[in-house]
Amino acid sequence: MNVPEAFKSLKNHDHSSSFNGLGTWLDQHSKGPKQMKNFYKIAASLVATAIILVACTVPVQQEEEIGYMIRGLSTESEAVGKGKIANLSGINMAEVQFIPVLHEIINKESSNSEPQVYTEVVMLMPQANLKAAQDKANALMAAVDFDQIDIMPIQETVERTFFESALQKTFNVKIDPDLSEAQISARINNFLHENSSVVETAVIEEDEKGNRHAVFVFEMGEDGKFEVKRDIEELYNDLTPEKNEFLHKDVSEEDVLQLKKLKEEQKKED
Amino acid sequence: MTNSEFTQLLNPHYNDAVNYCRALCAGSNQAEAEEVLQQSLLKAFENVDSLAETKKFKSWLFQIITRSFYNAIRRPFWKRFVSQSTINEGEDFHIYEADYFDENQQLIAALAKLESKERAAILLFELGGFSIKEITVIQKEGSESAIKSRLSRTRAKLKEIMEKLEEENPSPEKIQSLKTSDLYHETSELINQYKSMGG
Repeated sequence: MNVPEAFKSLKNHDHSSSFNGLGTWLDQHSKGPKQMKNFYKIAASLVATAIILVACTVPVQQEEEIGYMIRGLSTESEAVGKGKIANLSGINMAEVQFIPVLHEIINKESSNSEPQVYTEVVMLMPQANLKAAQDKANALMAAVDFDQIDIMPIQETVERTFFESALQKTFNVKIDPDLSEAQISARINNFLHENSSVVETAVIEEDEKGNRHAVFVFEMGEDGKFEVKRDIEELYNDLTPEKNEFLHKDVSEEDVLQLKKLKEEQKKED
Repeated sequence: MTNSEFTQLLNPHYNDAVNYCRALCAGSNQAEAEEVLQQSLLKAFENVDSLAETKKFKSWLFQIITRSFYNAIRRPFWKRFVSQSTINEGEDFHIYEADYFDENQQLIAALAKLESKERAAILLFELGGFSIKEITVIQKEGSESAIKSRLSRTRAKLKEIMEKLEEENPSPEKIQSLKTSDLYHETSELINQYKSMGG
């Protein structure tokens, strides 16, 4: 038999007799088509959704800037400093504090220490605007002769869910007003205490209409206490003279430069 | 896919698939060939839902049979004596009929002497009816020319082997034809027949 004939003979063999019982045999021995039943699909979807929701609602902590503190050391007296800063526009005197501090200056040649009285100028800016803080620090430096001036961010650790954190970062949503007031005031006071010789007291109060206010109480020593009340929503707005009754009349940039020039000449004479 | 849908898909190709597997397992015994075929059919049934196009069912099925065969011959030789199948032995259902393996012995013996890839290629062409292009895909070769040269080489080899086997073990037809063409043997046959009649 030649090859093509041999193949033809093999190909023509009929196996239909075994085909008839094949279906039953397959049912008995197969593991079944690998297809998840609808019930399990739904259950798996629900479990996955629940896990995602739980993960997203787990609170996460993050550091958030709620304001800035400007702190400077000046050799000028408190009275002189107050007078110069009061003439500046855009500076709320209620937010500026002057504290006399005593520093020991060590003479390198003689190794003797000499006491030196400085005036610590502390200004609180209850809005998270670095540019505004830098502008105010520049204005203070133009008016008062500072040996050193720093801008320090006031940060607090806030706890919010992953959803809220994502929203905060993406859309710069304001701080959730439902945050604990005790937590906010404790954080602010602790920061001020650590970074300044002033012990501030900040509390969050709510008026009859439900508006929340941040109240800063400044200890003025012999002058007693000075209280500043700010709407918590305004914390994110820039200060303007129209909004604040404690601001003096507007002073121009030329006036500020003239004042600085006068201060320098006075120092030389001293 | 349901059982009946699967068997409906399988029906037009069943004969070819069974014959293909038998010839592919040339050199193996009936039980081994039965196991390869049963495993292939089970695998096809369990995974038929993964088949994107039903019109590619035949080439997909033959690919499964070919892979099952390769896996079977790659098993360590001692494992081949122990069935790896989960199918219960001794059950009544058998795809291959008892006397099927006694047929076409010369062709099967010749196929057994081929390399497994050569055997698969020639059988896919002759029994499966696949084109060169389809065989290239089934055997996962890089080019159709590789398959063409393999087929050409295999045909020549198969012919040579079968001729050799024919010489060594002539078929009953050949013996019969040889007998009738030989005068001496014809005369001897007549004499024997005459004697048996009592003459």
